[in-house]
Amino acid sequence: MSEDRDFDLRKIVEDSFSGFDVSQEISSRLLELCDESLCRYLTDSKVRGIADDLLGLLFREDEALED
Amino acid sequence: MRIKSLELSWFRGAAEKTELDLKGKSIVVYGENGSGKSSFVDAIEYILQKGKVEHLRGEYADRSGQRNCVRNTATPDDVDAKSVINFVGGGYVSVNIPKEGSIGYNSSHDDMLEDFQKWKKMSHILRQFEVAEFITQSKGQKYTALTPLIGLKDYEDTHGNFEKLEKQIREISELNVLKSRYQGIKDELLKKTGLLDKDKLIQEMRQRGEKYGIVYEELSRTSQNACEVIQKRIEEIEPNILRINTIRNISKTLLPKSLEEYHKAVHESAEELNHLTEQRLRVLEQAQTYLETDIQDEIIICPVCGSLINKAELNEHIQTELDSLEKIREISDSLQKTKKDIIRNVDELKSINREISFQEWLEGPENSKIKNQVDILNSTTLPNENTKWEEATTNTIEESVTRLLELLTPFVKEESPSTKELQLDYNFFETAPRVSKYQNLERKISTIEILEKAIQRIQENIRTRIVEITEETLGNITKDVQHLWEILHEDEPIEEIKLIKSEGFDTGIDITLKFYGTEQQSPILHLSEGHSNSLGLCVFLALAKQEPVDHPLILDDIVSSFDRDHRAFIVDILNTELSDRQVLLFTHDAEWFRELNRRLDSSQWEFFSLKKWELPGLGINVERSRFTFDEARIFLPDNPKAAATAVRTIMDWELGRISQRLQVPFPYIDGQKNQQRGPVLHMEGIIARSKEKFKEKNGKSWKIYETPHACWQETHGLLVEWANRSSHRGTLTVREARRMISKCEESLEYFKCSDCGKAIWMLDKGTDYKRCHCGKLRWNL
Repeated sequence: MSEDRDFDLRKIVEDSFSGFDVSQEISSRLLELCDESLCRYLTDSKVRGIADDLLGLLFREDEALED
Repeated sequence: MRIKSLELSWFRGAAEKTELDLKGKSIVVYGENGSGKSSFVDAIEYILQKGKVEHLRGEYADRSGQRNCVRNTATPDDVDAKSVINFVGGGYVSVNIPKEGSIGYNSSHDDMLEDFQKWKKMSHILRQFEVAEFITQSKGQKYTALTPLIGLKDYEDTHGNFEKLEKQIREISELNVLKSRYQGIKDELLKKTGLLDKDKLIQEMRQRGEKYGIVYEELSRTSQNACEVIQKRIEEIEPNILRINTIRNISKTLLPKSLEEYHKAVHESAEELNHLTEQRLRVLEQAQTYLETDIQDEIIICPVCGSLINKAELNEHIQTELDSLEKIREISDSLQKTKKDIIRNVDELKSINREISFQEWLEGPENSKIKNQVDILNSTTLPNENTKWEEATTNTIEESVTRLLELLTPFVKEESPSTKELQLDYNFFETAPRVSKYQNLERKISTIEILEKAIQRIQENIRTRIVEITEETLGNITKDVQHLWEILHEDEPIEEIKLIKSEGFDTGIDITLKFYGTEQQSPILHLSEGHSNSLGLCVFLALAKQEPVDHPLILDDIVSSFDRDHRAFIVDILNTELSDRQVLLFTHDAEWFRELNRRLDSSQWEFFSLKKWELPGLGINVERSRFTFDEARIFLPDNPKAAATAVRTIMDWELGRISQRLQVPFPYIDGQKNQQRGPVLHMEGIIARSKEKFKEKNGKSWKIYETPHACWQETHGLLVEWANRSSHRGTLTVREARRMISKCEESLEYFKCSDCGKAIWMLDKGTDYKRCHCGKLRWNL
């Protein structure tokens, strides 16, 4: 049952990307969050770290965007 | 994971090791209030919830509170309180609670404790005070309570984590700040350039640049060059604008008007003053004369006009003079105010004409006349308003101002040059480069928003799935609740009880029902306390049925508010709906205990009684509960099989106890059978030993007491026969069951002396036999 839920949740997260221009790296990071969520409700600092990573990935090659 | 036995040592009410040997079966434990029933439930809950027991929660201030709540107060300091749950098939989980130091959880297998602690308390343990708790909770609390039970915790946790992630991304990226800045730049671009498209802006820059001789190079550079050129032009035009403005402001001076009023006031003041001064002198002189005269008559000669008047008329004359003086004062005040106005207007005029562009303009030879008048005005100083002004000074000012205004009149009409277009172009070129920042912000915001929307989509899809699972699971639970309710409340006006997801509220659950045929949204408003408890029990059992079948249910004194009929229906539920599950049922109700004892299948159920609890040091006293032969006879009319099973239970207990007392040895039997000797083996052992050991007094000698043998042999045969039949799902007739009860009861009577009526349990010091009270019967040990 637990494995079914894992699979179900992963599929929901994966399916949710369709239609959005999200890179493979970002998708992978969001799926990691999904996997980590199966174990527990994450702390604020943990989620903040993931948010930092995601924004880093988003703008890593686009420093020129700095205004 | 069926429970084989529970062991408590110094835990709650228990003292030295106390054991409930369930043998993997369901059990009913009877005990009066305070006998220690809940100690067993607490022990299970304590391990299950990692040291938390809900009904003791209020006592938990800290770890030591958690410890002190469950350690028996009489526990020796160096002894751990302990609770062990042994499972069928081997394996255990346990907790050791020392007076100080770490509370230790253990298990026989690596994952056993972790697996056990995943069990949800809410669907495994139900206590008396919790029966209606779910029913009375809010929609949100019901949802929160059910979330882990219906497997939604992972979904809710994941949803919550993505919700937090979305929030963190907004915060870290300062998305709202970026949006605000983006909007500000957008507004500025639209206001000052009318364009947001970079290419169009560049094209416009090329066109406008031509006016100023600017060739487009690059956005920022072109902007800078254009702004410099335009600024220079503005600076060239501005002095003319300022000078014309100065002239216009000078022409608006109120000084001429103030001077006119001044002259008028001075003139009036002079005329009035001369006239009144003369008049006043006369009045005062005549009044002095009059006052020096000895006045006898009412009629007097007026010192003012010489007429014959009375005193009242004299007063009137004096008043007239006073009014005249008042007028003089008003004229004087007016003059003073006019002077102030002149001083202010002169000062204002001086300050206006000090404007630099005007001064520079005055330096031109063609403006020398004007300059001359300005200089005169600037060099003239007026005294303050309280001082008498020289006529020459005011005349100089008046002449100078009049002349100045005449000279400036042609220039007042001169048209002022405009910088409006220049300013607009300047704003255009100054703002245009911001289109790059605008476009960067637009891309940045769009990138973040795509991620944000993807995360929102994840949340929406998880929520949709949660709702699907919730509705599906609630549907299943509802079926069970309705079925259980119908067993408990057949033909009652409360029906169609449903657990449903709250409308428009994803994380809420409602319970609806039909009350006398009308659907109701709130069971609390329509159900009695008894019915609420009943519904609570149905919900609990329905939830419990969602759990794996080998998980036990623990019901602690749950029938307090149930009447006799409904208690009987609960037994029906135990026999039908929960027959495949292990149930640990605790009750303080002796009558219901007897009913359970009578109606539950003794091959599936064990019965225990707890003796009255006396002292912490003595703890809980458990004994396996027994039927009496009379109770077994109650089954005879309609359930002879149950009667026979009851008798076997009685004989198992009684013969086991007798064998122990009379030290009847048994051959060792391998494996599980050694634990299940049963009444047959006990009977065989007793019969065999009695032929040597059981004696009756015969005068002064002793002989083998043979009287019981025939009865015992027959009883043994009946027990063997029933053991064979019951193991093959056979049955027996009422007559056979009656005979079995009769023979078993008779067999036990032979251990009592027919003379003294006492059993052969007396052991005299220094002897090796047990005897009855009178000594007629003895059993050699």
